[in-house]
Amino acid sequence: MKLRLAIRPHGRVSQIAYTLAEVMIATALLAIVGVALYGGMSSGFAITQASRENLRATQILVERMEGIRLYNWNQLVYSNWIPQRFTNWYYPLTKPGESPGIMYLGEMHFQPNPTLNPTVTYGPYMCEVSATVNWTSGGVPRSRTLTTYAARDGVQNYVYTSTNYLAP
Amino acid sequence: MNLISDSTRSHAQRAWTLVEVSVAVCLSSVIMAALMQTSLFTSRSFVAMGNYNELDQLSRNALDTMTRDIRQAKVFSPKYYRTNMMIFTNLDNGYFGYVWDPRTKVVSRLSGGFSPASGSFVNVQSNTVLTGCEYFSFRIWQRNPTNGFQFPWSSAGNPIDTKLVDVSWRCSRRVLDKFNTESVQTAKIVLRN
Repeated sequence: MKLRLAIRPHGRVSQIAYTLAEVMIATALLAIVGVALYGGMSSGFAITQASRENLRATQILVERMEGIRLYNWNQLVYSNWIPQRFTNWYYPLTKPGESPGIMYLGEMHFQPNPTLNPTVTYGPYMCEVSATVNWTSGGVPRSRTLTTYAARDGVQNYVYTSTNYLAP
Repeated sequence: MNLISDSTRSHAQRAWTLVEVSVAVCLSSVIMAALMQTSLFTSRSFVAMGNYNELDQLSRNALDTMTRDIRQAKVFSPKYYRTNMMIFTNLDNGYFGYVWDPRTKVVSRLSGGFSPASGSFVNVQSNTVLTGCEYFSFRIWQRNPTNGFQFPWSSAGNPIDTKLVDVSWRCSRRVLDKFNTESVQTAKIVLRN
């Protein structure tokens, strides 16, 4: 057997591979970073989506509340002209074949002579109007409510009868 | 100083075989492809999230401004009514309005004065309210509601009867010129005149 003199490098550490413990720690760190990144994005999208759904729900409620301003007292309190249940969609402007998205189920409640604190003499001439929309997002039921008051001598009278007109 | 046999040296220094290189190239390609996809997905997601937030913010501001303006309007001007344009007179007898240009996809708020003598608008100021607006529509309804929360269509020639303004729009942004993010807004606004 032929023998040769060789100089072993002083630092043998530079030639050794990663140990199993090092690889395991590196993999675990990579996994944690990856999961955190993915979770952050998913959470961001979920929050954005929830915010947009809330905004749409608010729009539907405000539409209803604007609409009741055109009803006079008798129509509001003594008629059934305003349906107590209604349906609306996330995308109301869909083209044929497009999905309208989430369905919002709405309810309206009218409470004449509401309990006011402090009590007022004109209480019997007021009506508490509440609108609620319910929808399901990601399997979680959600709800949003808007409440306002309508008065017998309120805005709907002059909105209905005004002939204020000066147009260019 | 140590003694090392030739057999040990040759084993430590030999090159990779073709199979080893092929496997390494395949593995690195798969890993690189996965990394690129992840990077692309992440970038697209962040851009989409930013677009959604920007669109919602702009649309909310536009709707708030429009709602405040229209509620306070004295009357709308039937002469200038279009589905993409409404001009209103305010309580100072000046005017304001909103116009959508489908060519530039921009919604602008106009304001200024009106000269009855010349029959034209003067001192027109235009502010951009929305950009990237692909659809925009004004519809007008009468003040007398009917059964079922319905409102009759209003004739543009009779502005006194027009009390309810329905406005809808859809704005969008492109992500990497391929994916679309959009924001849809609808509102009914009652003139308190």
